[in-house]
Amino acid sequence: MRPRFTQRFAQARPLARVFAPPLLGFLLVVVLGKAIEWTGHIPARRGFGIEDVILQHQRAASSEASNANLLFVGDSTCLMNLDLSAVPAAGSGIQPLNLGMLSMLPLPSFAELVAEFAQRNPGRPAYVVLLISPGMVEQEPVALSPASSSSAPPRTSFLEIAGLRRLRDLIQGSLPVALPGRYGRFYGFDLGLDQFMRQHQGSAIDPGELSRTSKRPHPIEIKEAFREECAAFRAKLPQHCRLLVGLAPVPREESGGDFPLHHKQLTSELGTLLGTEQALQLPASYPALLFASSTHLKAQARAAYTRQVWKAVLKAVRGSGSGTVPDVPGSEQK
Amino acid sequence: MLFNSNTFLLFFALFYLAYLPLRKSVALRNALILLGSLIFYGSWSVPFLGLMVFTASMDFVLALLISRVKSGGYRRLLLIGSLALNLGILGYFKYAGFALELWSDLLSAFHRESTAKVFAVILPVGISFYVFQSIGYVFDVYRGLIPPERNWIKFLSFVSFFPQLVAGPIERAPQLAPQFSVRQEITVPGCAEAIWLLLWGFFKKVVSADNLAPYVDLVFGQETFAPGLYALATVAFGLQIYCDFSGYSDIARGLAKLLGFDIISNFNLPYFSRNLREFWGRWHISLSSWFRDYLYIPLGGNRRGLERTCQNLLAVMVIAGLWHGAGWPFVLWGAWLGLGLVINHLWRAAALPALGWAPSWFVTMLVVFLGWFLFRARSLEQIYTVLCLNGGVAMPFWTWFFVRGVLIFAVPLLLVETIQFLRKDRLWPVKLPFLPQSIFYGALAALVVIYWKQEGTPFIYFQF
Repeated sequence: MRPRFTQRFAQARPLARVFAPPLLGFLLVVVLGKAIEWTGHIPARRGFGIEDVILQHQRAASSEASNANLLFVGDSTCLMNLDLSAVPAAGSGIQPLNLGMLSMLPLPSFAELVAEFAQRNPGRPAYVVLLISPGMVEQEPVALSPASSSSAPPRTSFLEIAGLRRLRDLIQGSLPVALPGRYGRFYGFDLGLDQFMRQHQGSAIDPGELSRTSKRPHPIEIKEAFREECAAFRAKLPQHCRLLVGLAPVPREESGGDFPLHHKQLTSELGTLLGTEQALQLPASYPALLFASSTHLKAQARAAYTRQVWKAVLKAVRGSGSGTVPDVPGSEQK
Repeated sequence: MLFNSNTFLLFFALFYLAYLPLRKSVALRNALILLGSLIFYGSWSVPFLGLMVFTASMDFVLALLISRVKSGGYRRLLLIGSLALNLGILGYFKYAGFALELWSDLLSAFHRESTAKVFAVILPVGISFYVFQSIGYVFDVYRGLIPPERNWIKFLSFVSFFPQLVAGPIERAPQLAPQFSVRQEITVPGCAEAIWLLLWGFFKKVVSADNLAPYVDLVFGQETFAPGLYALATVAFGLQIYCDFSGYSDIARGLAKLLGFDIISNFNLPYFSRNLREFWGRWHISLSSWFRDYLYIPLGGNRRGLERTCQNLLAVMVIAGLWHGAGWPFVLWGAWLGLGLVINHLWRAAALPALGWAPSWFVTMLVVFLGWFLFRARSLEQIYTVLCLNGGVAMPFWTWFFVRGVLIFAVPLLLVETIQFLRKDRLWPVKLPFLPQSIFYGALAALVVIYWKQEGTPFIYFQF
């Protein structure tokens, strides 16, 4: 005889008692996740890769209150080659901040950072120094977004539907994420890189070692796309800012004997394109042993290079040089 | 097919749907388990599936012959045949490359060149586990502890039982094999236990172990950090390998329980041990008891004097180290822990006073975690570099981030296990009232879902 409904129900109850807690508990977490989503009290999702950290750090720095009146902007050579702690900013009346970003970002995005900074800090900055690598003028820019990082955990639609993505972001926000390779060795984690940049006025260090050099097959030429970007950059820059522009050095072994002259011409051409007050006269090349990569200087070379940049900046700002700044051993002056 | 992958979840769901109606017939159930196990193992490699079926079938035949032969000499010969076959296959896949490398190094030390080429052999997943399980079965038949299995399907189901096939526990025939001969009831308490084991196992693997791994890799992937950082990374590794392996074992037990089977508990809160002997009674229990019963005791155990006992302990631990893999760090790890066991034994033999709970726990963990450093090191060079302070003594500025991250993933484990230890009950969450249990289980389930990766990440012990 088939058991009556009540009997079957009585038999099913212990089993329900076993399977209900995880299901009900999971449902509670989903409700919690949805509630958080609706209130919108979770900060935006943090990126996890090196690019993400740099982008997010500099975006945050540009939107914070600051007493900086001189901003360095540019690609990764600006980010990695400057050591602002090495310059005597105190007596100069100039407070610098490095908002250097990444190579491959379009030039106008650097101006957007400045505009954001100016909006948050009215009347500032007085000066903007654009520092880029010579190679940038002939590259096609690729827009990066925090979501493009390969180290970001995969997003799944199930997490989205279940309202768990926000919870994950909340947990991940406090978790240090290990960085790969040489960056992992030096900075350890994304939060380590972020902390380092905060402590070094927005600058970072490339912890690499330039393993081999190869001679550039042809002279650098400014591409048409870059010329258009220059116009867009200038248009986005706040009107009150004075713009200075400079080009980063390259490994001497990668450049020809006439490169210093070419570097100087490129800087001048760039200055004209951007309508700058002054194109900075910066070293064109250094010995390859001072480089961490084909574009970034090693930590040891950064301080001396920064002093040279600072000297050139002060000269441009005041119309005279400070005169006592030591050169990097072996640097090739124009 | 990893337990922590979508593929396995789908596989198990389909398997279980077929299993529920068939479980009442022992023959059909065993056939289904065998089919499921073959599919499960075949998803890694079909040729290696053939190898597993071949070795298990040979042991099936040899055990039958052992039971029929009356002469002790022939019986021993058959046992040696089984051992030679199993250990020969294991040795080839696991140690051939290492042995050739040693040979080549030896010759080069005498300025001679080896003509044999060093080659890399792909290790069949789980070979160390199923081979040991199979050897144990033949040994037990030889010693008359169990009758030989006469049903090939039943025997193959026992050797290839998919919940514990690729990373143990290494089941003993007297414990598991008889379960394939009777109808297994799926009980409510069994399901309750299974749910806890599965949730906790997946949590340990997917949330703790997989998230601790990048921290460990960050440090052990480099060679010139301060020893202090390696010490922290070693602690993280000790937690990672425990979560990874005990997570697997818990999932295996949970799955088996859902099928109505009982497999042994492979871990029993090992990091609460107060001496090395106790540690080995709590860590990878199925392997340590296997070595005790099939190697240490046959070697004479502790019955042939103090000196011989110490030699046996050292020999067994070095072999246990080699079982994990062909490499000097594993040998060193085994020797280090063997030495620890010898000292432990001498201490007891000399009837020296026992240390208090905290000092003995601390010393035990110091020895265990120093062992983990040797185990995790990539090479002897790395061990040497770290011990020679080649990376200096200054800790990197990001050390606190390391500690913070490790703590985040270690604290839930430590909390749950401390309660398990204090209550002397590893199943306390099963007995929680409805609401607290729902909140606890729900939080575990949500974290597992959050950190779940579709393809899963391999378990550390798969490489052994």
